[in-house]
Amino acid sequence: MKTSEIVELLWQATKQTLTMVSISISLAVLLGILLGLVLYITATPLLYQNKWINGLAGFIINVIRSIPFIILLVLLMPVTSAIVGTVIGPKAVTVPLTVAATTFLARLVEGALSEVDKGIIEASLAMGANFKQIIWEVLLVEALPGIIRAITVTLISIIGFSAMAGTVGGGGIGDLAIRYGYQRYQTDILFVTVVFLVIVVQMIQVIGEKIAVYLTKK
Amino acid sequence: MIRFENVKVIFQQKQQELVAVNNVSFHIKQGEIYGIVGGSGAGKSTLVRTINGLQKPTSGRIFIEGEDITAFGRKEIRELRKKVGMIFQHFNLISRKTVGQNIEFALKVHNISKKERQIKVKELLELVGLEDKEHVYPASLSGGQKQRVGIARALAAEPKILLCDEATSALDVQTTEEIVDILRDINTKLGITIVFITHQMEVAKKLFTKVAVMNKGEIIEENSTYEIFANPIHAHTKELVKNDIVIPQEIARKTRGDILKLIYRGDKSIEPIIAYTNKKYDVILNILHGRIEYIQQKPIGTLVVSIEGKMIEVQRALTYIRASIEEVQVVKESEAV
Repeated sequence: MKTSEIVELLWQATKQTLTMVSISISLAVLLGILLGLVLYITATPLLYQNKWINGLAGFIINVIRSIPFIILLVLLMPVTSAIVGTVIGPKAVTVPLTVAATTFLARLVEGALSEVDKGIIEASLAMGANFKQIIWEVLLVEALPGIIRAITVTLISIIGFSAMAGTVGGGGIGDLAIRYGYQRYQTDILFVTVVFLVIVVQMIQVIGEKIAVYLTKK
Repeated sequence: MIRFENVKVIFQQKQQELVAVNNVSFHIKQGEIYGIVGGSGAGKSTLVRTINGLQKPTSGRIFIEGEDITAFGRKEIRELRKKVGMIFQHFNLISRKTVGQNIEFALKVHNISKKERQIKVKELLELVGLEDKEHVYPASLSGGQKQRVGIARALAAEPKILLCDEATSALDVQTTEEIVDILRDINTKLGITIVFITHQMEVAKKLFTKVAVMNKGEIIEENSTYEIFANPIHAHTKELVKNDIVIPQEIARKTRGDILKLIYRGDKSIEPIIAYTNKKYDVILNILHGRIEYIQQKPIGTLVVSIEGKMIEVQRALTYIRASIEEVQVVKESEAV
């Protein structure tokens, strides 16, 4: 295969991956942080401790996280169909990707929030800060470096998950590697995609860490 | 100002109940620097947290300026917290906000306009002597400076009461003095009532006007700071304020004659008694160690002396000393020669 063809294939696949990953990570950041906050707030005696909500949210997250992504993709088809109107193509893959990324991120965000010094929350309560101020000015501010790290890890996992998009015609880099590299024995394409993915993941990790370190003021 | 009536705090633990504060009743007057002292686990922290509603009492009532705060709902508690500032052992500053932003947050909580906030941040920083630190992050400050920020933040709402939770326990001796001075200043200049809990008796000596001693959830003794140190009543208080003048064993062994520890309180001076004893009785009084402390401007003196002479003279001299000095302890009795 000519180099220009490989580049063209890779370019098309990158665009598909980019579409799937960017939509689902954006939604997952919103929903995952929200869910992470719910998990944290309902577990903290200083805020609104609630064993029932915490237990239920935790249970649902654990169930989703225990399902392998390729099976989640299939199980969620009715939901996907209801939301985007189709169960094939890159857009359809964003639904299960978002669900998987949200639950994954929620757990990591919960961890990042629980790293926030309880004394700071107590001090803010002692000042008379309201719930909204504690969320926006204390919790999210203090936990931001941890949340950035959580998003970095989630982003890398979604890229991995998106390789399974090929099963429903979603395309993407992972799909390219399987179809050309594995099924057609074109080792050169397999090699190029792997190198490409390694570089991308490395870059995301390095950039994420740099941002987190920059934001840490301890 | 603050009145406790039979306040009890019980923590429900897995197997048993833990009584953290047991039937506490006392009264803190406006303008006092009221200290609550005691060992760890005595219930001090829990007690101080009931004043701003961070801890709800299991039973009993707490009145602040005549209002029963134990009946307050969430919203009223938040309003109450705006007139009760608090500082902490570990400062509890927001690490990702600068010194200025930390103080500004407290002002924001009290709905102060942005323009006014900028002016007040500068004023508060000036009050605690950190004008040049507005734009730095807490991580680059020393412990004493962090606590100053804590104080500035606590004063942002112009509170009437300032709660201090072991506020100097993480600081070294010199920094502790600085913080003690600032707090005393705030108390006199702004008339803020201070409630300070600590296990550091040195801080109690220097800062408090009144002291309550806590042990196992109860207040076992309450008095003016001077009286607590000069005339402790309860055995536990005595242990806390115990005078730690110790004569090295080697010296004690070498010294001939009896060794006495003389403790005097109030305005009476000890020196004339020593001089008089030396003159009137055929004994030699030798000063081995001494210390005079001033608590609330009143002295407590401790003197360790040796006394030598014929048995009969020593006995007479001792009788005289005992009659003139509040407390005489025999540290070592010489073997009969």
